[in-house]
Amino acid sequence: MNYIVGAYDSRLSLVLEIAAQVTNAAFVVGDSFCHLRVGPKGQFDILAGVKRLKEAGMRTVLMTPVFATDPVLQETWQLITALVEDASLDAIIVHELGLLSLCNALRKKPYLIWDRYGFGRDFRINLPLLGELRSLGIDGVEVPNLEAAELCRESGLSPHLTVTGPQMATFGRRCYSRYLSKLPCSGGLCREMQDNLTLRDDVTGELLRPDGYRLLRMSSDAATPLPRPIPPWIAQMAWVSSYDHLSTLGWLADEENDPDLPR
Amino acid sequence: MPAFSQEIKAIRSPEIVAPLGQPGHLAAAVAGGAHAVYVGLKGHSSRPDAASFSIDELKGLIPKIHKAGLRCYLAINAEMRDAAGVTACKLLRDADALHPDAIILGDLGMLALAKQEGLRAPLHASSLLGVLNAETIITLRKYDIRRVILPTCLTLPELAELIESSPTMDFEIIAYNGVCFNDSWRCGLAHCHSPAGGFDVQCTHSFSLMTEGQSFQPGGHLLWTQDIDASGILPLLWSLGVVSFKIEGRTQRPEVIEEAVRRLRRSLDELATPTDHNRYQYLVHSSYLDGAKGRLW
Repeated sequence: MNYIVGAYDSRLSLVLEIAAQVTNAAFVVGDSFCHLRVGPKGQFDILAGVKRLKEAGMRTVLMTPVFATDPVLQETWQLITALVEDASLDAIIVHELGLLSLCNALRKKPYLIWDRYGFGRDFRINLPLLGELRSLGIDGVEVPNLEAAELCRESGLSPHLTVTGPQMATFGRRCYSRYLSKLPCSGGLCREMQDNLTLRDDVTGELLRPDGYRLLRMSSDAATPLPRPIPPWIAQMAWVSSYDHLSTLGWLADEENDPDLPR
Repeated sequence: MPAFSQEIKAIRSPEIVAPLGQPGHLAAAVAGGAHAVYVGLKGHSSRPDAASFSIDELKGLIPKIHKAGLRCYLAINAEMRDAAGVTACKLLRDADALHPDAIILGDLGMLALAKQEGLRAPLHASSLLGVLNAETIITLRKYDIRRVILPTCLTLPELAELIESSPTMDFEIIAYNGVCFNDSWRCGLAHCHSPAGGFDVQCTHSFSLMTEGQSFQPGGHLLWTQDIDASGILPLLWSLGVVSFKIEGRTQRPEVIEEAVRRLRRSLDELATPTDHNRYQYLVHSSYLDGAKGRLW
């Protein structure tokens, strides 16, 4: 699984278009914060989407909700069992111990990725933590840099380097867009508001859209500078909105000069 | 038939936990009526080092806290900075040797090491672990966690459901102040000072904004909310099973902390008075604990 691509505009046609043009990639379905923010109107049937992607020969990854209260966990678990049994889901991104524990009970356990929201405030990686995650059934870990990737490898886990990905902008778990607009949302409200409410994030010097996805600057580099060269044992994770975004992330440019990589 | 207040104690004594970020906070906690304080280990807590203490400093401080009649919870809840984890075991042993009444941890790796070391001190799961469901609590039991400090994003019904599903776990909530009601590490919005000077906060808690004497209104939208203040619903929270009420603010002035403790303590003390309201709360609580519907004291 060299690349994990999440389409933050999850129209199935767009996902399939991207998928058709990238080899050796797995595709993320679902959202860490709100399924309604994925897609122009938030309409994406995850089970049907995974089935279509599998029919198209793609590997699929489920992004699970970060705020996994008991009812959310129950709902997520039902979805996971259906996806694993009916659609041969390949991997699950988890962030907390409850869902991880449940996933280990699956008869056919998918590849499990522990992502940034499973860490504390500073997203620090340490060997005891990695060892514990491995013993709890985790296969891969999202990492913020090459040093963390090395620790992962040392622990026998697969590192997944963050290139760009969804973030959250919430008010006590309430949707930022709904909080500000006082409008109800049946899907996609944050996308409708994006032109008016782009925020500045002084911590990282990056932009954050109100839908919580880190903004990619199409004409320049990716949101997070990529280390180069990226060792082949590191998988990369990125969220894109079109095939054009992939080139801004840099990996295709690297691949073009490597005749050994599958096209 | 035991007196009301005695039976409450037999169930689980509620407590007010005050922050202690400087020696002067101890007197404030005592004066306000706190039952316990929490302190951070310098370099390993989720607050600035200026509001935390080294092992050597704690050697002198913790006995003073105990002498004042308060319990002391030691927070080592930042993520482990030593990536190799070489120093972590010694750190935990040194912390345990200080005889704190509990150690608060927020890193899964540290939890694993603490279990391995067989520490004397009970372990509390920091709110930074983001415990939101009963399955997670079942897993945390494997690390001998005795108490879960819940994140501030849970609604009351969610909180009630979670506590009910884990009746043998102690639960603590942030009952006053609070760093960020978003569980800050999960929210992608900035919480920072502007390089141009002044506040440039897109998302923050009101105390941060208002102590600077200004609010922040990008695009005409006010981006702050009320401070956390659970003093008005402390009896309700206790009846749901919350046993510990924590005040945030290790960087606050002592008089602010004293007033916060006093405010929560007043609310808690009302529990000991068998008013009709409390009788109802007690009935709810008893039913929840042992299923004895309709039991009165």
